[in-house]
Amino acid sequence: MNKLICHRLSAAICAALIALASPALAVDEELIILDWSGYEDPGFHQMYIEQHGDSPAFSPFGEEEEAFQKLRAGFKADVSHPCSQSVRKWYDAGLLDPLQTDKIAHWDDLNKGMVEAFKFGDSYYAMPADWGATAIAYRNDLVPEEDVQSLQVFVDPKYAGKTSIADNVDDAYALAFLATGVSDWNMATHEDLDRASAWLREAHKNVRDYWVDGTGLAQLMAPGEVVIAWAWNETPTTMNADGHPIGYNRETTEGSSTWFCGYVDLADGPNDEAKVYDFFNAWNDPGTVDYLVNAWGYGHGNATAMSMIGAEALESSYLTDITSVPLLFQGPLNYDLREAMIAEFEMIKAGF
Amino acid sequence: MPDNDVAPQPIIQTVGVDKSFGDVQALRSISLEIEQGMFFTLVGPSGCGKTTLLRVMAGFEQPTTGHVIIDGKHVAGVPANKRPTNMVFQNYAVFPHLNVGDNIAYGLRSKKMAEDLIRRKVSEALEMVGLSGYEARPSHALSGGQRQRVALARALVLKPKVLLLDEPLSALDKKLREQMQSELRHLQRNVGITFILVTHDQEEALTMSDRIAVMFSGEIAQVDSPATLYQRPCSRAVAEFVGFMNFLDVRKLDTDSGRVEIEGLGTVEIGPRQAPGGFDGEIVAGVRPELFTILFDGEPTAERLCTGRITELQYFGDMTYYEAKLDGIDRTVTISMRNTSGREVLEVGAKARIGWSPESLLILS
Amino acid sequence: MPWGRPRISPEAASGLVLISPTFIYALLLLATPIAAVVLLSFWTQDYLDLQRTLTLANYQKAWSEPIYQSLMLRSVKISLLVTVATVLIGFPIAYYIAFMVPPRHRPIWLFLITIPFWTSYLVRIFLWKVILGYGGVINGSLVGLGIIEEPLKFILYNQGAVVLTLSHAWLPFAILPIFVALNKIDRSLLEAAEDLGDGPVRRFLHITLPLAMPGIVAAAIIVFIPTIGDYVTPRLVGGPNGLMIANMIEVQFKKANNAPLGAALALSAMFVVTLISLLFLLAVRKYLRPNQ
Ligand SMILES: Nc1ncnc2c1ncn2[C@@H]1O[C@H](COP(=O)(O)OP(=O)(O)OP(=O)(O)O)[C@@H](O)[C@H]1O
Ligand SMILES: [Mg+2]
Repeated sequence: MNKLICHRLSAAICAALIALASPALAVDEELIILDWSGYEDPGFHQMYIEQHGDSPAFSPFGEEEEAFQKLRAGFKADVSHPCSQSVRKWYDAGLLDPLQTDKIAHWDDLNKGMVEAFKFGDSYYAMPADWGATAIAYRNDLVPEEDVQSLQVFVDPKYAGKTSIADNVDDAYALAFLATGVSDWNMATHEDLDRASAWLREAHKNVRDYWVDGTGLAQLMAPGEVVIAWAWNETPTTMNADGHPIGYNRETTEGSSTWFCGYVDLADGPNDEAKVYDFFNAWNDPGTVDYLVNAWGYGHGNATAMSMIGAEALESSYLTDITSVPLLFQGPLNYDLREAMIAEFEMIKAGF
Repeated sequence: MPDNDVAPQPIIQTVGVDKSFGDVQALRSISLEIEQGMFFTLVGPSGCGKTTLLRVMAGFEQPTTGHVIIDGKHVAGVPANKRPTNMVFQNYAVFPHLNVGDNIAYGLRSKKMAEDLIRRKVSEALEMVGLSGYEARPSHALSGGQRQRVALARALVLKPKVLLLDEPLSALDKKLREQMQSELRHLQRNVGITFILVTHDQEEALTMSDRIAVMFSGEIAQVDSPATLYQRPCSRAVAEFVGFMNFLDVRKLDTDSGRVEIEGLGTVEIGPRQAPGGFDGEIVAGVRPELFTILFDGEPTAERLCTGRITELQYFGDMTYYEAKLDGIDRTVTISMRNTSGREVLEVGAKARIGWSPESLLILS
Repeated sequence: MPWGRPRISPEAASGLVLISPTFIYALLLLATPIAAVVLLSFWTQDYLDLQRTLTLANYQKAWSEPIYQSLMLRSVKISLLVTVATVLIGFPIAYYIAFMVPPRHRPIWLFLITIPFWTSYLVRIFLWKVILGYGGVINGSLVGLGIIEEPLKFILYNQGAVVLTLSHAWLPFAILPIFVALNKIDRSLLEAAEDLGDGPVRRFLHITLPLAMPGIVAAAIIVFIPTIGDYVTPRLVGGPNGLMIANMIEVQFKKANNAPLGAALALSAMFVVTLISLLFLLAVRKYLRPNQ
C-alpha cells in the first residue's frame, strides 16, 4: 500500500522527478496518457498490456492546472485524467471529445452519480475512474474520540496550531460547506459561500500548514505536530500500515465528503481512437478495480465491481457506503461560484 | 657628512638579525647602525633580502633571531602601527578609494588629530612635494610620479623618525626618476628625517646616499660612503656591483713583500690599502676604466706603460669608452677617456699606448 | 566635423554583425516573453477567455488590494532579510578564505563552498524541514536534552524558516563575489594603513570594508533580486503566513484563471525589485567608483 508516494495533489516536484526518470515518450503509434504521477502503474491497465504487448506512454503531471496549461499550450496527448472540478474547465476550453459510451465496456456498471456529473449537453465527457473520501483523520492517541464527532473541532481553539486542511479549494470548501450545513454544493448560494468562507477563516487560525500531498501530511501527523486533519482516506490507511495511531471518521454529525476523477478522451489526440477505448476498458476491468482498492486504497467508478469487493477490504480502506450522515459529493460546480471560491480560498490562506 | 664632533647616536640599529621563511634564509646576522639624519641606502641584486630587512625595521616581519633598536628602544613585538617609522611602498599603495587629501590625512586621522590642523598639515605636505592644491584630486587620476609624491607626503606628514622607502623610483621612467632622485635628496636634507632607501640601482645609490650598505644573499657585504665604496670595494663582488671594474689575473703573489705579478702588466708592489679584503682566497687585480689612460702623442707619459689594440669603442660625446686588447695576453680591458679639447678619438684597429699607475690597482678576492 | 561623415563606420558595422546573433538571441529569449507579459498585464481574463481591450484595472488591483500589498511587502521584507543574512554570514567566510587560508588551499575552500550545489535545491529544502521540523533534529535534541518539554513550533512553517532556508541556499552566491573583491585588495594597502598608525579595527573599517564594497553590493543584488521571486521555498517551509508574491502570481496564472492579474503582479514585483536595487546602488555609488 506504500505505493502512494505521488498523488492527486502531489507537488510538481514529484512529476519533475518522475519525468526525469521516465523514458522518452511519444514513440510513433504509442498511446500517450497525460496522467497523475504514479498512475503509470501497470496494475491499472493489465488488459491493455495483454492486448498490445506493452503499456502506453505516460507523461506525468503533479497538478491538474499544470496539465491544463500544458494541453492549452499545444501538448498532444490522447488521454488524460482530470478530477471532477476540472473536467468542466477542460470541457469549456474545448480540450475534450465526447465519449462514445457504446464503446466502453461496463458503462452501465459505472456509478450513476459520477457518470451524470460528467454530462455536459447531451454527451458524456469523462469516464469515472477513481474516487476517495475526504474526512477527519486524527491521532487517536492524542485526540479523544468525542472531540472528532463534529467538524467544529477545526475551529476549536483547543487545537490551535495543530490542524491541517488540504491545500485544494474543493476539499477545503467541502469541509466549510458541510460545517455550515450545506451538503450539496450545487444548491449553494453566494450567501452560503460567504458563510462557508467565514467559517474557513476561523478554521485557518488553527491551521499549522495546508497539506499538499499525502506524504507531506503524514510527515506532519507522525510526530504529532498536527493531530487533526481534513484528509483523504489514503492517509489513515498508509499511516496505519506504518504503525501510526491514526483514526478516521467519515461519520461526523455534519458528514464528510468524496472526490472523484475520470479519464477523458482529449480532442486532437495524435493516435488511434480504438486504442483510447482499449485503455478505458482496461481501467474498467474488475481486475483493475480489485487492484485499485486493495493495493492503492482508492475506490473505483465501477460500482458493480466495487460491490463484489469484500466488506472487509472496503472497511480497511474507509470506502464503505455512508448513509447515516450527509455526504458532500464533489461534483462539478457552476463556474461562477467556483471562481469565487478559489479567490476566497487564496485570501484565507494568506490570512485575509 | 657628519664626521666631526661626538659620534652621533644611531637612530636605528639592527643587532644580529636573522630571518628565515621556511627553508629560505632571507637575512643572515645583519648588524647595522644608521645615524640620525642620514640618507642611507640598501643596495643589492634582486632577492638579496633588501625588502625583508626594510620590513623587519618597519615591523611587518619579526626577526627569527636578533633584534631591532629604534631611537634607543627595543621594538621586538611592537607592531608596525606603533613604530616611529613610516614606509613608502614600492607600488606606493595609494588608497584608491580616497582622494589625495584623504590619503595624506590618513595617518593624522588615525592619530585623531583635529580636522583643521589636519587640513593645514595636508596642504603643507602637498606643497612640500610640489602638489599644492591637489587635495580633491581622486587618486586614480594621478600619474606615476604624482602617486609617488602622494605616498611620500603621506608618510612625511607624520614626521617619522625613520622613513623607509622600498624602490620608490623603480616604476618611473628614466627622466622622471632622475628628477625625483634629486628632489628626494633635497627633501631629505630639508626635513632632516633619516631616510633608508632600498634600490637595486647602484648608480642611484651612489648619487643619493650618505652611506650605502651592499647586500648579497642575505648578508651585508660592505657599509661605507659612496666614494669609499667605489674606490675601496672590499670584495670582487662589491667591486663588480658598484660601477665597472677591469679584472686581471694575478700570476704570482708574495704576501710578505706585497709583490704581485699581474698578467699583461707585470710585477708591482702593493700597499695594504690596496687589498681591503686581505689576501686570502683566489685573488684578482682590479682597475677602474678611468684609471687607465690612452697616451696620445705629446701627452706626458704615465708611471707605467703597456700596449694594446682598440677592438671596439662607444662614443658618448663627453666620454669615449674603448675596449682594448692588451698585447701579450688574451684579454681586453675597458678604458674610459674624457674627450678634452684637441684629443682625438681613436678608431677600431688602432694601436694604443696605455698608461696606468700601481696605486690604481686593487687586489680583491 | 565634416558633413559627409558616414553614419556607421566600417568597424562599427563589423561589430554590429558580430554581436547581432547574440543580440537577436537575447531579444528572442528575453525581450519577447517580457513584452508578452507586459501586453498580457493590460488585458483581462473572463474564465477562459482573454479580453484584449487595454486597461489598467490589473495594476489598480495589484497596488490597491491589501492582500497583494501585504504579500509584496512581505516578499520585500523576506528578501531583504535574506540579503542581510547572507551578506553578514558570507562576509566572514569570504574574509577567512581570502586572508587566512594560504593561497594554495583557496581553490579547495571555494570548491567546498559549492558542495551544497551538488544536491538539488528541493532536497536541501527537505533537509531543512528535517532539521527544523516538529520531530526534527533541533527539536529532537532539545527535547532529548530536557531543555524543552514540547517541541518548538515556531521554527518551521513561518517566515523565519523561509529566511533561513533561502539564506542557506544563496549563501555561496554572496560568498563568491565578496571573496573576489577581498582577494583583489592589494595587501600593501593594508600594510600601508597599518604603517600609518591603524589598528586592525580602523584598518578594517577604513580600507578593507570600502574596498570590498563592490563585492558586497554585487552579493546583495545577486541575492536580493532572485529571492523576491522565489516560490518553492515559501510553499514548502513557509506555512500559512510565509507565502510570498510569487505564490500569488502562480495562483493567478493557474487556479484563479487570471493570467493578466498574474502578469501585472509579476511586473509590479519586477518594478519594486528594480526600484529598490536602483535606490540601493544610488546609496552606495560612492564605493563603486573605478579604482584606477
Ligand atoms: N613571505 C615570504 N615567504 C617566503 N619567502 C620569502 C618571503 N618574502 C621574501 N622571501 C624570500 O626571501 C628572499 C629575499 O626577498 P626580498 O623580497 O627581501 O628580496 P629583495 O632584495 O627585496 O629583492 P627585489 O630587489 O627583487 O625586491 C627571497 O629569496 C624571497 O624569495
Ligand atoms: Mg624588494
